[in-house]
Amino acid sequence: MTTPARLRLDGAACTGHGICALRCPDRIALDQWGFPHVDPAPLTTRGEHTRARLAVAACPARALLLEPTAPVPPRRRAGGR
Amino acid sequence: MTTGPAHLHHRGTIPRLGRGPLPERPDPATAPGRFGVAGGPDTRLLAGPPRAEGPEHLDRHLDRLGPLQLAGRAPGALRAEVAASGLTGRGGGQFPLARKLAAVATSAGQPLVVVNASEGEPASRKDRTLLTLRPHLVLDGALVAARATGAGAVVVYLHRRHRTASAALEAALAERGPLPVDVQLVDAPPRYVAGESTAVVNYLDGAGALPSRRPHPVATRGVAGRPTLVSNVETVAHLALLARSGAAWFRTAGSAAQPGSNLVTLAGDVAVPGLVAEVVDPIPLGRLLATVGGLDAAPRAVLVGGYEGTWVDGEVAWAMPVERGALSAAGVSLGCGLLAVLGLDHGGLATTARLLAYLAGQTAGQCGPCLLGLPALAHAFASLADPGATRADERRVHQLVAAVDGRGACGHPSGVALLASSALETFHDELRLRRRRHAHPPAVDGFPLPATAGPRP
Repeated sequence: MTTPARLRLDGAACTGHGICALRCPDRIALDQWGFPHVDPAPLTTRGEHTRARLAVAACPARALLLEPTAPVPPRRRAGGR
Repeated sequence: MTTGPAHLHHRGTIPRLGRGPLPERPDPATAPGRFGVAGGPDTRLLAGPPRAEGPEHLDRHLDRLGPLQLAGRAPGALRAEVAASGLTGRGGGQFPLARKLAAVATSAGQPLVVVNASEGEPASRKDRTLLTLRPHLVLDGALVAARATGAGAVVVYLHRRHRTASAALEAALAERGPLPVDVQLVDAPPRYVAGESTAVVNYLDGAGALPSRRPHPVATRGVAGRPTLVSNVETVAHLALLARSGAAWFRTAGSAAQPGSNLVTLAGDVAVPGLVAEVVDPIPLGRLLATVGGLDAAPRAVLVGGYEGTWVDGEVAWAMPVERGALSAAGVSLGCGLLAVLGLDHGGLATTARLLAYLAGQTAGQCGPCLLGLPALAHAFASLADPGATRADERRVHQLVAAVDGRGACGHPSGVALLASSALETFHDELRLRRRRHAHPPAVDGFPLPATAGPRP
C-alpha cells in the first residue's frame, strides 16, 4: 500500500524542461510556454503513484515533489504571509 | 441612485398589502458611522494631532495614551487577548494574527519580529502615513509583538526613499532611548513583490527580495531558521491600542467577522489622491468618497484592494460597505485598503492596460508562466483598449488570464489575473463600444505608476 501523496511544483525552481509531462501525463500537462500545470489532487491508483515518482525523479531542476497528504498538525500550517 | 426623491427607489409594482411602505433606502452618502482622517475624533490609529503637525512626539503620545505597561504581562495572556480581538493582517493577506503569534512563540529558536512597512503597492499610502504621523504607536506595537512572541529583536522593513516616514521613525527611536528589544531599520528594495513575506525573509537572509515556496512557513522557520513574525505595520500598530484597551474595546469597531478599524488610501479621481482615512464602522464607500473624496455621485468604477485587486462597478461600489468581512463574502478583498477611483470620463480598459503593463514588468522573473504570461496578457489586453478590438482579442485575453491564474511561487500572477478578469466584467460596455470602433476615453493619470525597477536586487 502506498502512502497518500500528491504532486507539488516549485514554480520558482521549474525551468520548463517538460520531461515530467511525458512521464506522468495523467497528472501533468504543459502550458503554451512549456511549463507544467500540475494537478494538486491526491494521487489515487498505484499506476499514478509510479508515474508521479518517475516524473519527480526525471526533473533536472528538482522542482517537482511528492508531498504526503496525511493531515498536518495545525501549528505547522500557521503563518505564511 | 444616490440622490433624488425616495419614491423613485420604490418602483416595485407588486402590491405590498398590509405590510406598510417599503423601508426607506438609505442614501449611502449620508449613512451614519464613524470614520475620519488624521486627528479626527472618530479615529483610533490616526487619533491625535492632525496631519499638518507631522509626527506625534513621545510626550504627546504618552499624554494621550499613557505608558505601555508590558512588564507584568505574560506572553500567553497577550496572545490570548489578540486571539479574542480577532485582529487579522492588514497588509492584504487578512491572516489571523493570533495564529501567526502562536506559531512564532511555540516554534524552536529565538523569535524575530519583522514590521513590514515596505508598502510595495504603488498607490497605497497608509503604511508610510502611519509611520510618519504615529511612529510611537508603531514602536509600541512592535514591543507588544516582541513580548507576545518572546522575540529579542525587531526589524522594521521600510523604504529609505520614503524619507519623511523613515525620518519620523528614527526620530521616535531617538526620543525613546534604550528599549527592551533591539530595533533595526532595513531598507527594502523597490519591487512590487518585495514586501511578500517570503521575499522579506529571503532578503533579510542575504538573498534577493524574491518570493519563494518554502518547505516551512516563515512563522516557524524564517530568517536564519528562526521563527519570524512578518506583519504589516498597520497590524502592528493595532497591537499598541489592543494591549492598552483590550479585545472587547477592539471589537467595537469593524464587524463581528472582521473586527477593528481599517486604514484605507483613496487614489485616482478623488480630491486628494493618496489621502489616508481610517474606517471604524462599516460605512458605505459612498459616504467615504462624498465626505473626504470630493465626489458627489457614484464614479465609473473603483479598484478595490490594490493594483492586483478587483474592479467594482461605480454604482455597486458607492453602496458597498468598507468592511473586510462583507467584502470577502462578496468575493472582493479589501487587501491593503487601496480604493482607486475611476472617474466617469475615464476609460477602464485603457487604465487597466496601463496597470497590466506595469505589473508585467514587476515579475520577479523566477517562474515561467509569470515571466512569459504576464507580458503576453498585458499585450493582449492593450489591444482590447484600442478601437476595433475584436471578439478574438477578447477570447485571447480570457485564455491568457486562465493560463497565468494560480501559477508560480507567489500570488503575483493570480493577482494580475484578477485585475484583468474583473476589468473584462466591469467594463463590458466599453468592450462593446470598442468593437464598434468608438474612440476610447483616456487612462487616469491619478493612478501612480513608478518607473519599473532596475535589475534584480
